[in-house]
Amino acid sequence: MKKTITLLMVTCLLVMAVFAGCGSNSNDGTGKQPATADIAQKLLDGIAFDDELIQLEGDRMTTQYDEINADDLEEYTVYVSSSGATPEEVAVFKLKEGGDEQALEDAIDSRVQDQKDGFVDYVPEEMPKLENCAILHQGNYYALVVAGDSSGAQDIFDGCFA
Amino acid sequence: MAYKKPVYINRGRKNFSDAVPILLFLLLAIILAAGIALVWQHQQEKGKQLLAQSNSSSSSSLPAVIESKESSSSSITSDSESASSNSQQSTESSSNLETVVTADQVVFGEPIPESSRVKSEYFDDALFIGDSISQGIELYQMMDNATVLADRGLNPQTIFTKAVVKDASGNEVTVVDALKDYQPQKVYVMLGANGLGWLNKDQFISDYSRLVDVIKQTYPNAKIYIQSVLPVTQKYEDEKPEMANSKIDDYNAAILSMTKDKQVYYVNVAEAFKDDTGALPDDASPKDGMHFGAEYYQKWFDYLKTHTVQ
Repeated sequence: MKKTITLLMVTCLLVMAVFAGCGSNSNDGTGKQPATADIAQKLLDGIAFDDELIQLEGDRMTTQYDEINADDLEEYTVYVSSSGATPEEVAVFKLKEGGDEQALEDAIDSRVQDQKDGFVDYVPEEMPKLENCAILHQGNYYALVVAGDSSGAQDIFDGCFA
Repeated sequence: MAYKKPVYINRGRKNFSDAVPILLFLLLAIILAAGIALVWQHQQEKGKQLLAQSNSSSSSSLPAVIESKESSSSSITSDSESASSNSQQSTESSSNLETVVTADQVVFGEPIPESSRVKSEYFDDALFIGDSISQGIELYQMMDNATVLADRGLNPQTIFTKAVVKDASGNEVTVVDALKDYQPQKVYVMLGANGLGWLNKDQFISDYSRLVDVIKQTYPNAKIYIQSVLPVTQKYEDEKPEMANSKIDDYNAAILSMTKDKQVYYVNVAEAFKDDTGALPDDASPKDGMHFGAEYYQKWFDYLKTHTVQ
């Protein structure tokens, strides 16, 4: 009887552990959902930037991304050059469920093109950063990285979802 | 008589009664575990919602500034100390003056004197016209109530010819053509970083004068502030002697004279940027010697708030 009681109590503890473990996992069945701020920070930490970057929020973000539909975004974190001297940038967007993916992609492409138009004559030596920028996509997450060497951005970005 | 050990006979009912406490304990454990899991999930969802709200809403907090790894540490620097979003709490160059400068006190052909500090709302109906330096205003919350018509590379000639801004219909037009879509009460102009290097002074002033005429005609009742051209670093000057600070000062003197002719205000913002040698400090613009970051935008905004005409 004592063995039976012990066995049952151990079973209860295991059951409790399983239920508690379920609480720490995503409940939407679509995998990891990191915060865009965390993704942006990892990109900032893992890639070298020449410039001082400043975070944009609200109207200041939509002024720079003038074709973006902010209502389609669940959250975003955007850093751009604080001086305008370079096109360096880290932008991470999380689309809402059912949001227009193509529209967001187009808005990011438009942003890159606007920057190219602005820098081609102004500071042509900055153009390689735009030509070789990284546009990243994972599920409902999109990111843009403009830096001297953005080749490592994909691995960093993918690592946020592992 | 030998002691006979009592024999327990399994009658079934007795085992069941023994199992009841265990079953009750098991049921209680399952209920408790489910409750813990539900509460845990609820707290995580709540945390995610709060994080999403703080990222997507236009908060009153300062923009975080990330300094480049090459120039300083790579850690995030919260900019609440160096570039306050609330001008009333700024500890940078604040004016202690109670002086209000009125229009009848202004002497055209002289820089506007220091005056009592205005609130950020002063710029609700302000329009900034210029090049990439003015374009940077759009990045900073402190001045996000102002309207900016600016683009990289604009000079006193291309401001008439280069279609770089959008009008009310969304068409790309020149800054001059876009003026009609706005009704500012104050207009701030800063040009010269582009053009000063290759336009001779007479041509530069002639083009600038034409712009001022258009602004006056479009906004006959607005206060028009012409800002001095900003200095560059010594290193920039050494690499590009056509943009020497002495030449910038010379052109600024000509701009000052122009403002007297046109009866518009001259606000000498450049003095907030100069070091003892008359140049922009190297650490203000480590990247290219001309463009600057949050700290010097703060200096600019502070200067504008303490040099106004009421």
